[in-house]
Amino acid sequence: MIYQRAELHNHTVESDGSMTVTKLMQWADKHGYGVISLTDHNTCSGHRLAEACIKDDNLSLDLIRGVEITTFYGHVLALGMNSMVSFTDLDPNAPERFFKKLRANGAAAIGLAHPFCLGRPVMAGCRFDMKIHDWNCIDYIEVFNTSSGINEYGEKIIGNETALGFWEQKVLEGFRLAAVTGKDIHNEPADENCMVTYAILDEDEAERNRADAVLGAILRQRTLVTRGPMMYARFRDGALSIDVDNSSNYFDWNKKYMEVDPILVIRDDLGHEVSLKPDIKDGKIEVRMDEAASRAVIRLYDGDKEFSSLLAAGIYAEDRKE
Amino acid sequence: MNAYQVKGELPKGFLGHISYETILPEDNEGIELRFTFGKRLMEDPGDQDRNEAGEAWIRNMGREASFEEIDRLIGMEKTEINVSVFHNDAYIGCAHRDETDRTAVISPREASEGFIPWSFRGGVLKIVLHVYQILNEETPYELTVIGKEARR
Repeated sequence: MIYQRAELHNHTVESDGSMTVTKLMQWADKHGYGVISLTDHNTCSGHRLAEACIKDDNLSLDLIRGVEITTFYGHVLALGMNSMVSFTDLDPNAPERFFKKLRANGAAAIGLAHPFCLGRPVMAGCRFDMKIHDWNCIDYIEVFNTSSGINEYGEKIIGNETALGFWEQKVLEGFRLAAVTGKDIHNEPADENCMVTYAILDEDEAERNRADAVLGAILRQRTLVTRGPMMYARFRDGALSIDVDNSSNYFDWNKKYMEVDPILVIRDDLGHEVSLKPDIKDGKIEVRMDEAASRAVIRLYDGDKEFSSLLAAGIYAEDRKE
Repeated sequence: MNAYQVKGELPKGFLGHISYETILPEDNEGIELRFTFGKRLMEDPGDQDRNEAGEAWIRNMGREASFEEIDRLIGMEKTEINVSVFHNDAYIGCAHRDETDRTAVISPREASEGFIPWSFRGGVLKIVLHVYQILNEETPYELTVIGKEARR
């Protein structure tokens, strides 16, 4: 199993960012992202520049072409889009037709960016105000937008805690949504230990195009958001098995993990919540849940269960009862 | 192509897309687009403006905003209009920037940031103003499109 770090929400001078496409690609490569999506507001004009930069500079980076469709009623990330489409016909009370149009124009994965941001009138259009009737049109939710870095005030303005809770509620209801982060880069980010996205890939996937593999992982809910351990969970007949991989060098997690006081919180689709203090050093955690449960979401904290103490989240396991 | 210029005023609270379409001559090749609008920041916030900012704050912060916090929120609000260009239904790009004055040049060989290079020979040019928020009455805007003939 391969954990692939990916950065999925970024802007450049092609819209309202301050970094050139070349600078952004070089930044991602330098910081070990491996896969980056370029999601300028309502334009695909940077895609070719990004691909040329990756090739010419021989970067170890794969590009996901993308757009942040910046509507009056929320920002929609469309990954895989090769060309932008008009959004003047978007009906916020029935947006499904518009999402189908995005699919028809190449969107492989459709996500909601910062859905619980402060919104109108302070940040017009930034909060997701569409009425979705069919959540199968959506593939993922940006549960951590880290554009404000590590900043409690900024986190509240962006609404990350609400977004994570919303994602957990939706997946426990059975909707197939992945959880991801987005730096929403407009300026070169400060070097802070923010939550990042890892896609969980099979080894043969990682050997091919990593950008396609990350898209596939999003569609299969094989992602997690973390600023420490990489985790993957399996669920079968009430037995929840969680792999923990502490090898990440992101902010020296591979050296620091021995110092944390881990608290694991698991919620299932029957409404149960299990909280325990596991040993995360041995690489595997086994937890007994209700045999009748079929879905579980997992959070890992350090020290206490405050939102600011979260180490990892967005981890989902499902027992398909096959 | 002669310069195509339109101007207007928008009322406070307007939300919507404003489209302008024109037929391009066959000997046209590129375009230069200039767009400007005024009154970017709220000029005279009233009680309703302060209440709306306060309601947005409560949703995320879970408590009422202080008078100073409301002032800060009002200061963050802005009139926002962005501009997209279409040619025969192809989406050429968007000038989505936090600026009141924008200029873009698009030709088959090069394009300003936000746009792809494109040949505008004949056909229908559509410019769409995406009006995200208007904070003041009589907010002025002006759009100018100048055609560039093909090289001989």
